[in-house]
Amino acid sequence: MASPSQQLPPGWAAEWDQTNQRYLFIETATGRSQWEVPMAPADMGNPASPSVSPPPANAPHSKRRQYAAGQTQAYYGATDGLAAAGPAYGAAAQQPQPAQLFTPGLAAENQFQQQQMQAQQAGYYGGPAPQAEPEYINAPGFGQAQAGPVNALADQFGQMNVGGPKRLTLYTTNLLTSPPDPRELHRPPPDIILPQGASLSPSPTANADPSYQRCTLNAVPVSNSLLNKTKIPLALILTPYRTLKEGDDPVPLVTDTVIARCRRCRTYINPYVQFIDGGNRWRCCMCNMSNEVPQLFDWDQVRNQPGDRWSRAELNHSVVEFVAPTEYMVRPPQPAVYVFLIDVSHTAIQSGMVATATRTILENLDRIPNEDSRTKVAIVAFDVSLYFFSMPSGTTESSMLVVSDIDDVFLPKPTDLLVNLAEARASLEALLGRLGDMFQENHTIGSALGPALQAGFKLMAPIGGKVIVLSSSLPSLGAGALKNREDPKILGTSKESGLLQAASPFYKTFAIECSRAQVSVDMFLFSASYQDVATLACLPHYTSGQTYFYPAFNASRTEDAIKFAHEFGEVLAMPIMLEAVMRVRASKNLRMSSFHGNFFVRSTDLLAMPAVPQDQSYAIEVQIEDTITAPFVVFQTAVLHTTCYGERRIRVVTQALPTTNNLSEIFASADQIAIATLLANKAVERSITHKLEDARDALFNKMVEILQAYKASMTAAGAGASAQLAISENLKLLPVLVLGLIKNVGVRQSAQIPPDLRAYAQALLTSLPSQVLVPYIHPTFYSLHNMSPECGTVGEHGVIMPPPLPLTSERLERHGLFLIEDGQTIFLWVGRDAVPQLVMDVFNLPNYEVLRGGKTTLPLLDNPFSQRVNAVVQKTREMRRGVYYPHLYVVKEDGEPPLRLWALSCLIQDRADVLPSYQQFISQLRDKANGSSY
Amino acid sequence: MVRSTLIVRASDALPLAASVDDEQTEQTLQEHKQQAKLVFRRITPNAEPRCSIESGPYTLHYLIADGVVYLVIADKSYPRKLAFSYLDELSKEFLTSYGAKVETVRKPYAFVSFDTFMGKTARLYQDTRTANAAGSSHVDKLNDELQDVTRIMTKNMEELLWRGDSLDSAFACFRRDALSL
Repeated sequence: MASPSQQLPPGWAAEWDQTNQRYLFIETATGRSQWEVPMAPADMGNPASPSVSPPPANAPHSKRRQYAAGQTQAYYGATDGLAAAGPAYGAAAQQPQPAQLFTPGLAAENQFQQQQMQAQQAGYYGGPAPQAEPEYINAPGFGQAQAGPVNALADQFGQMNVGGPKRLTLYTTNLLTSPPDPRELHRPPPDIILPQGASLSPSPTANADPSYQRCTLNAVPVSNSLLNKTKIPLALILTPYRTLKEGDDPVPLVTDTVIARCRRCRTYINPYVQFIDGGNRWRCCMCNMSNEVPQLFDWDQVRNQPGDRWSRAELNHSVVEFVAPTEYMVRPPQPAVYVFLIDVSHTAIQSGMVATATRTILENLDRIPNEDSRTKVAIVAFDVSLYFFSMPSGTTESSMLVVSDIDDVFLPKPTDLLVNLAEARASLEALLGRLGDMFQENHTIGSALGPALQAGFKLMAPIGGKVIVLSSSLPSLGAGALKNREDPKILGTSKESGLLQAASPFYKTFAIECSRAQVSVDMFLFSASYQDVATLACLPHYTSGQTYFYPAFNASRTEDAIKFAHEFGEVLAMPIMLEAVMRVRASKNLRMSSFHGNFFVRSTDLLAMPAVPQDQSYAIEVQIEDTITAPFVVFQTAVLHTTCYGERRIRVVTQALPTTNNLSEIFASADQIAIATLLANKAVERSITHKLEDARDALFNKMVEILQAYKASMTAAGAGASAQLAISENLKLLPVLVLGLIKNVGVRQSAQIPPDLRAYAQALLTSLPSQVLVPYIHPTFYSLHNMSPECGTVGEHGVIMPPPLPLTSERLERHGLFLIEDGQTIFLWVGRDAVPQLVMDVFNLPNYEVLRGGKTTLPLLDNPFSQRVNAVVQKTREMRRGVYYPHLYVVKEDGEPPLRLWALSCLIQDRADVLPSYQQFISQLRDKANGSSY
Repeated sequence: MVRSTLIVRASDALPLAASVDDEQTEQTLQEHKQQAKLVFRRITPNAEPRCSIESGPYTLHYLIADGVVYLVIADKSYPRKLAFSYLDELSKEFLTSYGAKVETVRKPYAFVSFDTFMGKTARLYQDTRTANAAGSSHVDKLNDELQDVTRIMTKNMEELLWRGDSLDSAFACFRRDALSL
């Protein structure tokens, strides 16, 4: 190899390395370097080639291909086979490599070669280092390689993503002629097509899964003016902490506390950085700073031997968790703390809330996260006074301490009120068992919720944790007392938004105090009458908690009790993140401009979250400050938190998106689900700061703007009037989602919606992750009586669901059975001409006349149809993330009007009262898009 | 009164466990915790196994046992005997619970669950006066069981940190000897 630079394929450069006395080959496009001589693909068939290591040459493949790990391993077998077949290959394979580039000090030379190849070919997918396993030699890949080694190698190139990047193609549809198909809601967002070589790892997990983080645009415009031309908002929708259901991959954990971060912008190392300087330094993907690779980065600390850099999880996965070293701790990891504030006033006792709640806590004591036996629990009951319970460890006794001074709350005892769950288990169980009976005769009316909150806060302020409030009435005493401000006369008027604002500053200031002390508040509200959910929900909103509302809860109805017990139990069992702060970083010229969700914004862009529940969604708007020149940009979310098992960790979610200066590509890359999620957050915010009407108008106008922009720039019609209403195929459902939002309880125009329900709907709209939010604004509608025989039976992917129908009552048949659900409620609609056999099969009742509407539990009967219907209902309750357990209502076609109207309000494509039907909405949009001058 | 307790690995000062303190304690002790960290860094294999270091209104008592350093920040007036008796008790319990794993852990605060025991023990060693006043005389009992802790090196934080004194026992002995010459 006298002067290798002359024989290099295009795009490669050779550099003499002084220390190793040999040439180093650098691919100029990606900055990747290797010792082996890179070759053009045509050379690969040449048996005289000095090396078998496939270089990332420019094989002209147009399609990106991903191979499963097993198949890649098959290629290792293939390489071995080649060594046997062609003597030149064999010689090269055995030739020892004198130096190692990425893992200095590695003993086994062959291992090094493999590492190089793996790094270039397949990455690790998080698995252990795959060796060429004998069984793979018989895999199909092996045979292929034998037949034609050139093809096999060419396939490997295909794998390396060397083909020219394909572009998103824009398909235009006419909204007037193509009605929305609900099945399209389940389509994945438009592909993220990164420039080749952007990622160090070809692993499919190198870019964030949309369930963790998604962007409204999967191709970021290079400038703000370009973005403004599309009128599509640029924002991130994130759920960094989502539940893992069966079959989901767990988040890989980096345990060796080696955390490589950019010195300047503090970005965590991720699959989009570049290694330079022979792998000794890395270039930050956000600010281009060159950083040193930490010394222990290539060291396997468990086995105390050189490790393989390419197998590190943070270079292969976009979602990773690091175990944090001491520098990330202000104090030792805190134990999880749960303080229950239980309303024991007359109404709470009478509704059976106290009994259900205590029983649920008792049943779920084992599910409360307590792996390291540190979890602490306290119970405080309140009506007009506060009742503390002292539970000394080692006894089964507990004593009640009453504090009736609610103006200046104090703790009656310094110790034994907040007790260790494991140690005080016996007394806790005894207390929970008789708490309901203790207050059985309590006729006190009134609620000192504010003082109870202060007491709970005092108990746990040194540590922080979670306060769980269970309250059945409007707070009426002490700090934070509220007045009944519900006034039916102002509902539906412009003054209504006042009812959605906090009535008392106490809850806001107290929330900030809580946030500082790492205390998070969850509200479980049960009142039958006005409870001012809007004000109370403030507290969870700013302390990263959640509000749960059970209007007119009555435990004597088993459905109510089951729903509450299920959801409460899930909340208790949920592994929470404690003492968390979240920050989103982005490439140069991108700035996080506004934040929506349940947290408190500390110091411009640091989101403080004392306790992060699972499946909470946050929306962050992004501003393009200056023209972006990079071919792709990176967004990185980092959540520093303490697990409820006493470990400080950092969860990092990295997402890379290509940039574009092409308008059609921007439109083609828009993610309608993410846009709808953002619009929901913005609409709620606007309805509180302005008026509900403004929120609806803003939604409508945004939709019009997008349509106008599309029409002006993407269609031939230009600015003139057009008979069509064009939008790109991937945004086709945005109008129906916006319509669903306008018709949602949280925003809808109506004089009938109690402010509590509205406030609760708004709390849901701003915190639900997209997966749950989309059905909430666009319910799912199935026809059950004529579903095909396999529906409701267990198939390959669990229970097979019937195909969803468009949300219009035209699809309701008089003899049919239908299911409408929005994730919070399930309606079983029974047509008036339902045959007795159907009623018999499903409800075990002789005919339609005897059937009663309302909340029910569906009986599980010994006939296939009942079992299938039950399976569909069950699947509906389980298929989404989150703790919600929807109520099931039976709705008779000629039943009580309120229930019927409620069910029908889910069919958002219909006209209801003053709200337009989908057709009307579309023609309004068209008139607006055509009418105004653009 | 026992204010705060820290347990670290002697070889690399990796925190193993610590008491979870409230915000107020955290603030008042901030400086002293920093000092404790400096002390941990100065511990060498031949450091004095027991030492009390005075620092402002507090005294830092530490004890090294089986490669683990136990340090308590206590009021200056808190009896040294009690402090070391407390540390002794912690070290015994810690050794039986986690002794074998100490050398292998890499993440900080790996044994933070020890704080439950620390909290309980610290309560037994509460302020001498309140204990006496309550008549429960925990401390009396403890006093009886106390071992002889008179031969404990005493240092001043200032000397240690700013004048570059070391914690080596040999050195200390030498100095003592030198003084008595």
